[in-house]
Amino acid sequence: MLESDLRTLFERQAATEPPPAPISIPAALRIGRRRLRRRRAGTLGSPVLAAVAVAAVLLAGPFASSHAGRPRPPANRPAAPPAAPRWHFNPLVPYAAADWSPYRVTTVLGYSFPTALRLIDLPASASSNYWTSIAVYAAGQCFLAASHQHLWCGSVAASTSAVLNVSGPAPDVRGHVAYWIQGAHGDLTPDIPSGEMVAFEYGPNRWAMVINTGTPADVLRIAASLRYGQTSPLRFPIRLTSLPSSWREVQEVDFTESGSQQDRALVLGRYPASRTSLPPDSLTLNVGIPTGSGLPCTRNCRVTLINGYSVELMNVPAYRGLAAFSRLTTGNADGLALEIDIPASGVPLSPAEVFAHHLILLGPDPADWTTKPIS
Amino acid sequence: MSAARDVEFAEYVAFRLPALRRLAVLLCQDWQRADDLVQQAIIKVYVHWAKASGADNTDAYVNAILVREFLHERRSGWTRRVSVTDQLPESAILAVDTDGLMDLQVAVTALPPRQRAALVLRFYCDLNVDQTAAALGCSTGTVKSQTAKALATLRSRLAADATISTKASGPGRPDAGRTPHHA
Repeated sequence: MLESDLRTLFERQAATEPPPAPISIPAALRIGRRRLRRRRAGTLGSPVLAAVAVAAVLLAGPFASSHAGRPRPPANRPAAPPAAPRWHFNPLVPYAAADWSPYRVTTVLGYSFPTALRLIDLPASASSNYWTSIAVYAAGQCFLAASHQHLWCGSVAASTSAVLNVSGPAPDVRGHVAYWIQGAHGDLTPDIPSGEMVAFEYGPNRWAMVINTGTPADVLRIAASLRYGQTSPLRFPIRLTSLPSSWREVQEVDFTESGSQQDRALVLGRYPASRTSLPPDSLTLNVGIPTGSGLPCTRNCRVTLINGYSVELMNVPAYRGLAAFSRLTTGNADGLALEIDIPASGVPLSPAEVFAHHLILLGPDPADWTTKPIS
Repeated sequence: MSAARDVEFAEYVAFRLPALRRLAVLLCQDWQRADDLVQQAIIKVYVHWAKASGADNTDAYVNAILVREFLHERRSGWTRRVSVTDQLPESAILAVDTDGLMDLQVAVTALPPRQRAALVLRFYCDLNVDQTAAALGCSTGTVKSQTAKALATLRSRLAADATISTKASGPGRPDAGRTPHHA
């Protein structure tokens, strides 16, 4: 059906990641005021002035963006909705947490990005069918189709995508508009065989979604219990020091909090300006409490001593579209298991150099860990 | 030209900017032109802010300004005068591409501006014929005829593309016999 294909085309086009907006509201104010003055003076009809006005518009467009800024709202009005900043969260401080769960949560798996956060809350028993998944997006990351049938969030390139099929309106979540979701796919939404899912606009142009295997009432109660921006920073058992500038931006933090088992993964790198692909020269560091002896060092692998620690160095060749990378692993360095992956070429340092000169191990006791893993 | 008016306008535009850009890119099929269009449209919105903010549906009023600015710009030939290349403009890239939707996107881009605007208002903004006519500043009959012409053009172009594609593939080729998505 051509009409439905057109709807799909338009909705997908509208949902694509837009380039940075070169549009200037101050320029619109400036030029608009001039036009208004001319209108009031009755001179708008002058062809000369009209031509000047058009020229002013054309000139203002490309050049005015550098002067763009938000006007200050008056004290007696609510703050202006933010102009959708694209990089909003600090991945080192998970932006949200749920204060209520229908079961006792003993394990939290987290995936924290500059633009989104996903949390999975699990109960004690691994065989239990209960679980909750929460995804929270920063401002401007989600788009509700005009038809209110689809909600698109995040981006595939940043591993934060979510495509949700809206089935109908849900009761408001603490006064915020909400929708029931039937069917979802993407990076931050799990494949759920059953359960209830609600998506809601927790702030202007900011969306969150909650999936739970319990009842609709449970889902709504979890959603209402979400706390935003008032959470504790993650603690890390390592500190990276004096890294090259290209590795000082945190693009993703994965974490597991399960009693004494606390694992962390840090992805450091700088996205290309286009943000259409992952950082090509990222550094990935996994660190946690050792759980086993690990795999034996065999092909493409050699064991060596660095700073007195036994480490394994490996070169993994390119395979099926994945670029070649170098890996350093150690099963137990000061009570920590560690893995560092870095692309094989085009990077400032090798994994061995990072381990030898840029890494401080803080040991297995969380009391000694830091909230500032990059210094 | 009070400060309160300016603040109210700036707040509104900041909040609506993403939606205006999305509508503009569907009309223009090109982000650069879309942003130019939005910039011009919001200047016009400022000039008419008293009317816009007092309208029953401010969003619809502002959308109409954007659409009419788009049509006016195309009618005036401004885009032809400032165009410095004969290459196709950069289009918005589909998040999930399929052959059929790519073909459809190309065909939509080739439509005359008024027909494309009618399709965007009907099938993206979900406006009915009356609302579309109000936004375009024309009669309902014109909306119906423009929409019908646009759909007919798309159908014929997609059918032609499918025929060419099938012939080019030929029997035995991997993609021979590809079902035309929109035939």
